[in-house]
Amino acid sequence: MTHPTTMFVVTLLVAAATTEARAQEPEAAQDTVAAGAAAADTLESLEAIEARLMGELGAADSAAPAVARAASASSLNPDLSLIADFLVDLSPDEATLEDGERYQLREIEVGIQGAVDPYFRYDAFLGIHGDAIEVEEAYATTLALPASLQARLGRFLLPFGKVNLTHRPELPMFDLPLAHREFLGEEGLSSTGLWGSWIGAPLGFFQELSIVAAEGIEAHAHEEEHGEEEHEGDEDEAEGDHGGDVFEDLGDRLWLAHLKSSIDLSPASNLELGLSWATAIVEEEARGRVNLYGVDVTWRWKPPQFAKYRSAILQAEAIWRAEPGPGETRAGAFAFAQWQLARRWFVGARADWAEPPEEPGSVAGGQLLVRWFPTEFSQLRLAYERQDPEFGEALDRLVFQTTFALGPHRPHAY
Amino acid sequence: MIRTHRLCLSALARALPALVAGAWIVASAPVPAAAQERIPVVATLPVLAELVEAVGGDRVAVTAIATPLQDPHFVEARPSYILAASRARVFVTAGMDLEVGWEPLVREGSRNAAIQVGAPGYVDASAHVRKLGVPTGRIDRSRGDVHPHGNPHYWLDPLNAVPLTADIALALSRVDPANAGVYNDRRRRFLAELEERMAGWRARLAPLSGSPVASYHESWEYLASRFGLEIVGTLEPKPGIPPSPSHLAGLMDRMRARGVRLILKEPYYENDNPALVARETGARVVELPNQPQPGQDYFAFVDGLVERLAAAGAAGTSR
Repeated sequence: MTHPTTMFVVTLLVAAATTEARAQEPEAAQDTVAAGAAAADTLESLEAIEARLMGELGAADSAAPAVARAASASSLNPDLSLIADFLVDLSPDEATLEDGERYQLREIEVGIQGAVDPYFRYDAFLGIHGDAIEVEEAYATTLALPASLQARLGRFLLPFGKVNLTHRPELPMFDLPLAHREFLGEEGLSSTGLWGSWIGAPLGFFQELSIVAAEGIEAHAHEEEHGEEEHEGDEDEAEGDHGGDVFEDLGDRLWLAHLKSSIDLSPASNLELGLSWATAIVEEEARGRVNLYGVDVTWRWKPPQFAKYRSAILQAEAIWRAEPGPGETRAGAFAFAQWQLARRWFVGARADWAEPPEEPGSVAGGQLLVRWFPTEFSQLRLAYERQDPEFGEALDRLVFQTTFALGPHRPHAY
Repeated sequence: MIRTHRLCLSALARALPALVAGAWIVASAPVPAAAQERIPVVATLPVLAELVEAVGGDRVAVTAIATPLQDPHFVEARPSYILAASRARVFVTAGMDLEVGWEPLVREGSRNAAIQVGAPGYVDASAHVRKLGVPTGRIDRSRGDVHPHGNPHYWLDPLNAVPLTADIALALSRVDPANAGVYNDRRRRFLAELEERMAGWRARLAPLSGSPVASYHESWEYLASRFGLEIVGTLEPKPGIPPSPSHLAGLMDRMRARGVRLILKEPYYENDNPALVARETGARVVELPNQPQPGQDYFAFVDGLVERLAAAGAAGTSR
């Protein structure tokens, strides 16, 4: 019983039992409603007025029953959605995508989502890359734990910072910031485990505390990294071992804690602050503990009356990786700004900097982008990126990207 | 085996401060309101909050999520809304997929079992209203941002307040059965006043009955159908798609042919295209908020709409 995971499960069960007890209350309440309604029946004037007004309102649309039928037929199917992420590399010198491709269907992401029962919902995202299908996320989320608690069970993107929780095709930029690619992996940090969280306002504003116990990171992100690496590494040895190996080959448990705070500064603006800490054991020359620390800040502005036409985002994150024992600490960071020009036009810029693990020196870079949304379901984006390593040649790339979303894709967390 | 065991213990030891902190925060979380306190209600839209207020009076403490000048389609699921929903005992949503971009995040993110779909505290306000524009046949997004359940701006038909308040009163009575009589009585008074005001609104808008009008978005169908206005076209070529020059040219031809004098638009839409159409066709732009403004109850809100329409109509015909 000293096993931390066991503790987690016990907490879950206890919480579920509490919910069970609470669930009895509404039924009792409903009985009393009937009594209340019966008392109301004596107020004949309510009935009379209501009958007259309802007559005036007119019968519900004849189509209404058809809708009810449609809802009952489809409501038992989970929501199925698809996002297609297509890239065209327009770089002047040579192609910079994996395997030197100029055209790349980077990913087809299939989302299958829905409520399991009154107690759980389930969300699964399958990423199809070429001929490989990968479970990007697949987790159950509790819906009925008491005391503002929630648990997730399965495989998920880890709440390390803010950007890491976003699927790549839905990022405001066309790929993850350099610091994330170096320290968290090309597609972000995800793992399989248990995620417990609590929301509340002990300081008067929203706070969410998350604790995750998960497996060490599998090597898939690393392998995928190699494709790009071979290509980039050809001429430039200093580019060398590019990220992706955060907690690689790690058999032992990973612990992560994240504290998110959100403060409404005005009806138009909001400030979000996050602190993250992840720790796990790695086997390198010697067995030791690696710690990752993260800080994230996001400021958003969107005037309520003109929300469709104007908005701005300023965002920054910093990540530190402390090696085991006397090993050095490496750092990375990014800053991002986006401005909405018009209803369907956005421009953005990102500044990147990172000290890649196991490489000398640092890499600086940045991205400029223009986004056009014909509707909220399709996007065309042009991005220019530069990566300039301290030791080695700079990489320039110009990428055109389209994303298309089909189906009732669930909205994204704020 | 021993190594693994020790490792887990050490992991637990390291995680202990966080667990203790978590337990402390949970213990210090606010306790549910006592029975004699006001019922905390969260409504997605100000108009729903006003209707809850009308039925609940001083028995409820109602919070609206969207602000009065916000487009209800484009609200962001701020964490503070999630927090408000986590404390609510009744949650009222407009439904019909109007708030599909944010309501599920707020409601499910609240971790509040009492307000989830099917729970006693959950109210889909559209459940029994008279619906317009329910699409028939096959629909897909090539038709723009269509709502499969019909046009969701149903609160703009004042008579839809009858089924709306019925569902609100029912939910309040489920959650607070001791005061069911109070809710029913307050609703009776509300409906009696609605009937009285309805006669006044009809009289005020009688001169506009049968008038052709244009609108920016398909959001004024309910008001138009109740008071006999005819909407001949929208500035948006399809719901949610911004106006294009070719579409506006076609619309202006139609407006001239039909003698359209009024263009209805919400304050949250841009002014350039409506002003252009007004200039070219001689029509007048009427800004109509589709939510009660601060300090307005439901009746004052409809009064405001009727007054603006009637005044614009009178000015339009006297030209």
